[in-house]
Amino acid sequence: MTPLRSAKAGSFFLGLAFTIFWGGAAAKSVILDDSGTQALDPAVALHWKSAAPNRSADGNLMVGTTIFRVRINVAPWLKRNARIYLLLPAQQPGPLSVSWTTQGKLLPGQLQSGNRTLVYSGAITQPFLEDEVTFQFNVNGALVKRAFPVNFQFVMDE
Amino acid sequence: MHTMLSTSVRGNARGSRTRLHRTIVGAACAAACGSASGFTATLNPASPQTIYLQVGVGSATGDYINGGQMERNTTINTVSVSVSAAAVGNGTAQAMTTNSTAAVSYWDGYTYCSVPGQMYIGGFFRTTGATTSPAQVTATVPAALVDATGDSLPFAKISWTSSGNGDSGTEIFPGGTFVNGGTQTVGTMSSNTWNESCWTFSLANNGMLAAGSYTGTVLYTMTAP
Repeated sequence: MTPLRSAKAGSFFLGLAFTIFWGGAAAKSVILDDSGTQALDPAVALHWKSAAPNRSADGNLMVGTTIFRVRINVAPWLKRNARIYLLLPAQQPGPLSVSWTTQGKLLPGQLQSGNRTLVYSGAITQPFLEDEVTFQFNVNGALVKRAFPVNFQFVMDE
Repeated sequence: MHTMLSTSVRGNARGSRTRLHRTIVGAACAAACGSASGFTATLNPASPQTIYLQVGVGSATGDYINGGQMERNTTINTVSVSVSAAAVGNGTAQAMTTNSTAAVSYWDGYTYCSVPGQMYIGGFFRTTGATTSPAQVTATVPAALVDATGDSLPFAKISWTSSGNGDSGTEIFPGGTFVNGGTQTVGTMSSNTWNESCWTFSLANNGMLAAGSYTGTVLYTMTAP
């Protein structure tokens, strides 16, 4: 009888150990497939936000606007709840910010490069999340001399 | 990403064993395929260079801070003084006045200069990229002012001081004295800043002159890198 009790105790210990292991696993960010996203005008013309500068050197803001038809493949998470973020990785030529409005499927928001912002939270009911998003970029004119790409990603925590 | 899509569809249609398979494949795809996702916008600074210089009166659709836009104004303002015969050559500098009515800065509508005693000078240049060398504002000065009979008055007799309502410290366009013929720098502007001063001119009244009306035109030029 004693060996049997020992075996049960051992199983319980192992089960508890596994429970702790899985419960402690950190959420993992998955980059979503947004290859169906299209830019209505991928080349964004930057203009000075103000025609003339300030008396100090802080009037350097340039702005530009463009529209994307966003299409995110969320089929793997169909019928599940999800939190999707727009990620603007830190990238050259330096810090920039972007704000956006949507048609309602995704959340409007704003973002500084190197960060992410929640754009969807809720149940995934269709294989694709689609919306038309108008982005406005804000960048210090002192950082730009020529055209440069800005890369975004949609990510989800699993 | 197509692999992840097809795998997940099967997973949703089948039981728990397939869902486990989906999770594993999905995680693998996230690691292997993630870099292929994302979208790109190309930001292009379009016609970002602007230059503006105002000496005397200028034109704008409104104050800049309220959305005003600078406009072209080709007016040539006059700075003048009448010296009485009794005062000619007495060594006392004669304050000059201007017909410029530019008392208000187009930047914010602030009453910056006092007319007719002062003449507004201001401007800016816009450029992208790191800070460049400053723009130069120069004055191209004739050798002398002349009257109708050919008498002359050296331009170096005219000087100016610089200030502005509410200003303290060094002026962007400092005081100075004209050269007798040639080009001289009268100020510099850093990129992407609004610069302005008010000039008060005076005539050094230290020599005898024939009676007459002496005139000369100084051309101000701004050169940005």
